[in-house]
Amino acid sequence: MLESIEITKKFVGKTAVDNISMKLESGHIYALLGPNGSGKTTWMKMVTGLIKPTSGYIMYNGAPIGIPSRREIAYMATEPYFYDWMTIADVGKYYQDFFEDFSMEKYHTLLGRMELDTKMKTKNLSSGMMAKLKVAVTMARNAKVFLLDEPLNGIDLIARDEVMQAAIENAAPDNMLIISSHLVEELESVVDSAIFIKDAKLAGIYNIEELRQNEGVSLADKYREVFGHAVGGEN
Amino acid sequence: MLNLIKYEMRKTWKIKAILLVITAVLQVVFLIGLYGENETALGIGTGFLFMTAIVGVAVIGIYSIILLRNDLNTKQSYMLFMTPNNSYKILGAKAIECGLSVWIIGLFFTALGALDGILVLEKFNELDSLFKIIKAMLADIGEFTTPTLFSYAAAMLASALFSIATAFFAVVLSATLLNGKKYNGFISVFVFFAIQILVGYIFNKLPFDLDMVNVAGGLTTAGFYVIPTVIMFFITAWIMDNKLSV
Amino acid sequence: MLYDSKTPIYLQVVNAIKADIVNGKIQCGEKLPSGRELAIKYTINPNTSARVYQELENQGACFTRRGMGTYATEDPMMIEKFKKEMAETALEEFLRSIKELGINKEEAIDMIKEHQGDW
Repeated sequence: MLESIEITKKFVGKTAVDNISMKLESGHIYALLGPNGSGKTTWMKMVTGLIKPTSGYIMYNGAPIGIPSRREIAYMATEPYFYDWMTIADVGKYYQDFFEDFSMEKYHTLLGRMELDTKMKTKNLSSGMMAKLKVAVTMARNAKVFLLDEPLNGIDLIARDEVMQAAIENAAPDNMLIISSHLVEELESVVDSAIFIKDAKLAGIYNIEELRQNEGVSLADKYREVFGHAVGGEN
Repeated sequence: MLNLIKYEMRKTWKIKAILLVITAVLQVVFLIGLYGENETALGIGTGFLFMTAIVGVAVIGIYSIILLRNDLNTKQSYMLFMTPNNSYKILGAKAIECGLSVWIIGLFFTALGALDGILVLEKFNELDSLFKIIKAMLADIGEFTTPTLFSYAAAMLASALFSIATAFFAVVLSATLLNGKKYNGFISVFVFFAIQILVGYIFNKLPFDLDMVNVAGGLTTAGFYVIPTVIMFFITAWIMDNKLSV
Repeated sequence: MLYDSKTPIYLQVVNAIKADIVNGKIQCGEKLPSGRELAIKYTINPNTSARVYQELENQGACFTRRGMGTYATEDPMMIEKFKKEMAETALEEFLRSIKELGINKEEAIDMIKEHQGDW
């Protein structure tokens, strides 16, 4: 279980995450939704321990997050972050060297499906290929928490299907996936809950099927309602 | 930890390879000059070898500082900080890699210098008056033997490593406590020099006469520099663990 | 599969599978995909696919063999019943649209008979 307790991050002149408290359970796929700059990335980085909160804390299975929790929490950043000299094979080797839950076999399966060649240099990859590589190497871990920051950005429809398929395949009762995106409709059928972040604050957590059953609205409808009519179609 | 060191080495091997190639070329020029009795080649070889030794060690040190800066301030920082390693290990791997490199390369150049010196001595033997003058000059400072040469090198390298450790501290300070503050770069550079000068001042006040050009003095000096180097390392790693956001 | 934005996703998948049972795309007594396979096939959450099978089982459209998986119903009467129910729903929908256009029943029947499209 992942618990965000009154967590706040202030940067110089800007509050990126403002007092967010929520409990997330294993066995679920969550969408983390909100416009650009609403604080999704900062929140994810605090869960990974890459950013230290100004106040509040993140608890993972009853203990504050730290170095040991990185063994079970897999984070995929939006931006490319591999070393320039790396080939796709090197990236896999690096993950294998540092993460016990990494499966080289799974990595190669995912690479095959995403049509990536292990000999390619990461610095020469197109943005679409880079996005696929990041997903492949992250999902090749058997982590307990997957944090995927904008995995659908900059990739074509076919690759999006691959990414969503990898997410569904990885989902298990003992792990959770948190996927941030602008593409509300793409995620709607795959996630079971959606977390809305608006202006650095938590604006609600909704169960997709309950929304439909109780209010007769889709996630996209709800998104438009919460974030205002102009924002809903942003992608 | 070994994996971290492995990747630190992977990041620096190119610059070391370049250094090695340049040194090999200059050594060949030096040998041609020496045995082909070509004074120009001998002069160029000797001069540039000497320069490469000094600059080479400095470049390795500066490069490791630049690497740390990149590993803290670019997106590549995730590569290190998403792994389940604390900052003592991450910084430790960098310190070990850089420390070993500086020592090995420094002692390699010292050994090469000693070897080339012996070759010159053998070749010119009694003939070369210039060499005699140099030897006489050095005799004034202290007993110029291979052990003194090495202990002097050790003292210089230890002091260089302390400078690198201080620079690591300044870089981390700039990326953490000073991040986003006005005059960040200026303050961190100032802190670097302040620590360097302060430690130098303390050393001068020590009740020992540290004559670096003898074996005991050289090694004692080297030993003394280890203390502030280690202190800097632990302070830096502590700040990284507690204050760093990448 | 495209999902409409009003009804729960699991019900939409339930109806799609029932339609396949009725039209014979899924044979009587055929083994159905596992929960995860179903999730991938329909791009739905694994929890949703579990709920799909639960609902199909409740309605009698499928049954579980312990340790073997889920199978489509073997009861032809049941399939016939689904066919009627689903046809009824489709007809109601059709009639509502037709009525909105101000077309009466007789006209509608004539139009169906005259329709040239594939049947």
